[in-house]
Amino acid sequence: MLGVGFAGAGVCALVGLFLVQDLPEPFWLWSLFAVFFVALDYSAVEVNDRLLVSSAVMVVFAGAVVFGRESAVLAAVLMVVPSILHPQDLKRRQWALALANFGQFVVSMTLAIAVFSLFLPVGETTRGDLPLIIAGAALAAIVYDWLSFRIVAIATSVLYPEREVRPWTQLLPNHLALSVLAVLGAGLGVAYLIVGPVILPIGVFAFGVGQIAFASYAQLREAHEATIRGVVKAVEALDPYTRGHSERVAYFIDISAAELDLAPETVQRLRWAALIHGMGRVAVPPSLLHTESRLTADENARVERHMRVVEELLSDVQFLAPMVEIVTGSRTLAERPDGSLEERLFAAADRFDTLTTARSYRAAVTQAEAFDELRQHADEFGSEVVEALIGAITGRGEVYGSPDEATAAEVERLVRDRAMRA
Amino acid sequence: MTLLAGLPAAGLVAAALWGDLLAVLAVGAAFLAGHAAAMPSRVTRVQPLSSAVAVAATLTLRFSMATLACAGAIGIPAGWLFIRIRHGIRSADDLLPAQLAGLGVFIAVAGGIHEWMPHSHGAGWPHLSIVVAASVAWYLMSVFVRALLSGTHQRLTRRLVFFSGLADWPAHFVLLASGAIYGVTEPDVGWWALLLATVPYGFAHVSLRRLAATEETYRQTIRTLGRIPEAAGLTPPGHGARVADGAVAVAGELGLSRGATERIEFAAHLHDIGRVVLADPAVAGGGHTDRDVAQWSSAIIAEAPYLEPVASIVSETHRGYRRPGEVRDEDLPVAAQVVRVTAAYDLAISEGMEPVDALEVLHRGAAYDYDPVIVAALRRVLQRRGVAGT
Repeated sequence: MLGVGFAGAGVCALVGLFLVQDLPEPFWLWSLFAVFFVALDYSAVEVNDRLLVSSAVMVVFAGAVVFGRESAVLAAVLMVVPSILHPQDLKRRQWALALANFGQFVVSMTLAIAVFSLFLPVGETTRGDLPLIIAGAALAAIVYDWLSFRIVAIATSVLYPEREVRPWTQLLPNHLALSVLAVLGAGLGVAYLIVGPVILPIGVFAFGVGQIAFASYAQLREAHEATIRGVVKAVEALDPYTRGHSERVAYFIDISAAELDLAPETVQRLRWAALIHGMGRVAVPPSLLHTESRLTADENARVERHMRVVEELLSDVQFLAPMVEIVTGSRTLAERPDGSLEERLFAAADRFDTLTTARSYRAAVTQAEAFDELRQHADEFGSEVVEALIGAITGRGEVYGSPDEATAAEVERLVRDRAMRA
Repeated sequence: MTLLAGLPAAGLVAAALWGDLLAVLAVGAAFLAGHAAAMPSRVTRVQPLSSAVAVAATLTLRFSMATLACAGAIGIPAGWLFIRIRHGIRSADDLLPAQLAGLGVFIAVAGGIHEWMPHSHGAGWPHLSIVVAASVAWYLMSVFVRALLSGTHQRLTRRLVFFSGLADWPAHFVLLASGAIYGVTEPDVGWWALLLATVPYGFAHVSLRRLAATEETYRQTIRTLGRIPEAAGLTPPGHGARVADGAVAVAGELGLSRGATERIEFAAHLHDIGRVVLADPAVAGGGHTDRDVAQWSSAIIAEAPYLEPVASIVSETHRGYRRPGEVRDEDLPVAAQVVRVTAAYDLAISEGMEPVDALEVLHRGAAYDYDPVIVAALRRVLQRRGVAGT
């Protein structure tokens, strides 16, 4: 319904443009721009949640300059229309999303380029027009960004009322990137008009290499994480008691981080810490891991020594060193009151999962008992961390650990399970 | 040292005599600045922006090659000194000759074509094609000089150094394109050309820097994962790193591609990681074979989709070259055999065997267990490294 409404607004804007503006001439040149736009837009990469700007914006602004004041808006908007066919949306059959995207793109682009075209010269473009055009491009980028942000915010609040939209100011890197791209596009457009088409291949090439390098960087980052995740998974699979432990700790950190309003980079770092903290177990002799009783102090020291060996190895990887620090720091929280927020959140999430899952020497405790235990150690974890974790779990209505009032049948099943594992 | 002082002096004198001192100093300063803002590089660690400066200067100065030569003679040694002082890295050693040779070839090609095609006036396609050709010549020349002078040739063949140097093309051609943007637009838009050239360059610079950092991190992680079985006491200390080092050298000796060499390096680091699983008492009690190690290692590596090719190499490392009485299996990947041979050699050395005896054992096995071609390549690598008795 919302998608249809958005799409309707988009179609109205398009029809209006056809009436007001001239068609971009020559057509072959416009097609070339359209092809560039689609190619850049499809190859746009999403690197973490900080930079979501498609470099295709550059082509739109260059096109607006090249086709001139009289057809700038129409030329730009027509370029954007094919992006309704984003392969990802189509593959997932998200028609409403595709329609809403179409409307959002067309409306914000129409208004932004309309603003931009006010800065374009009436007659021939000369060198003297450059400062004004560049200022116009920067302004239009901000207009576009703000409008599409508002529209997406409205759409999100209608479609997913429970989701929070990040405030506009938090997206500052996006605005900056977008303005830079717009300015560059406008500059290349002016250069095209003054210097001639020779600027096109070199401009596209210089930018294309950057784009490819950025895409391979994003891919490699993912591969790096997948590699470590794979090894962790294999290591955890050795021990039925810890299977999925690090993934769950990462999840608990994720949901409490939302309550604590942590920066995305911090959350990322903590997720990594969660992922790698189980790897130390590899070096621990299996006889110590599978014991039926609690470990003695001496055995505990041995386990820790073995784990330290692997942690020292991991901290050789510069990138992982801060994460290893969080993990090792979280172990000594009981002895020092000045642990960082990251260490405390990690320790609390780790403790919660340990409590609510069975170990070889004891069964899992109930969720309520685990919450009590965390609250008792509030001096260690920090009460804001404990409450954030508890709030996040209860807020989602999730239950971990043993059932609160185990029925006789369940107790029997648990006992049987344990006997089988032993 | 004489070169270092003599070149700038000669450049200055020549510039003073020929009269275009101002342009020479400006371009020379640009060369120096291009060293100060050097690009990260996958291969050589730093990539000065000299070729961008050369392209831009050639186009804006309308092919005044003498000016470019004087400016290069002043700016490039100065820039090299700057890098030397600031980074203090060894790779700066072959940087200076590579840059000077590159500039020389650039000037020869660009000047030559320009002379030969005297009617190509006005910026545009003809001038762009000339600088592209000259830039390609610069690139090939500098990679060639680096491979020639590379101090690493004791460990790797020059051929391998040359081909891995070629992998640096994105950085080099971004420089070409940025210099060309400046050179083509400067006559018409003045200083704005700097903005037009630096923005796409900046984007590429940041992307390449991040890519290089991530690659380095990834490599470190693989190396560390390879050390986990060592930390658990399941393989001799340093085994993974030594096997990887040897396997890369053997791959170079065999003339394998850069991609294949990297996969072999990763496979060599990770080929024993499955031992971690096999150390579990539930499994260890039954004992395990090389085949189990290869399969478990491969299964763990395959958890990372990106490492699928590495996993398939590792899964074949337990297979002998040829069973007695069998015809050689042509499908057996060379990569797996390289890892297999170097790992066997390192294990023999770790057990206290002399290099010559260890090679002898591999050769004896060569009838069916180890590929004789690869054992011979390993011997050549060891000989080049001066390992006694080989």
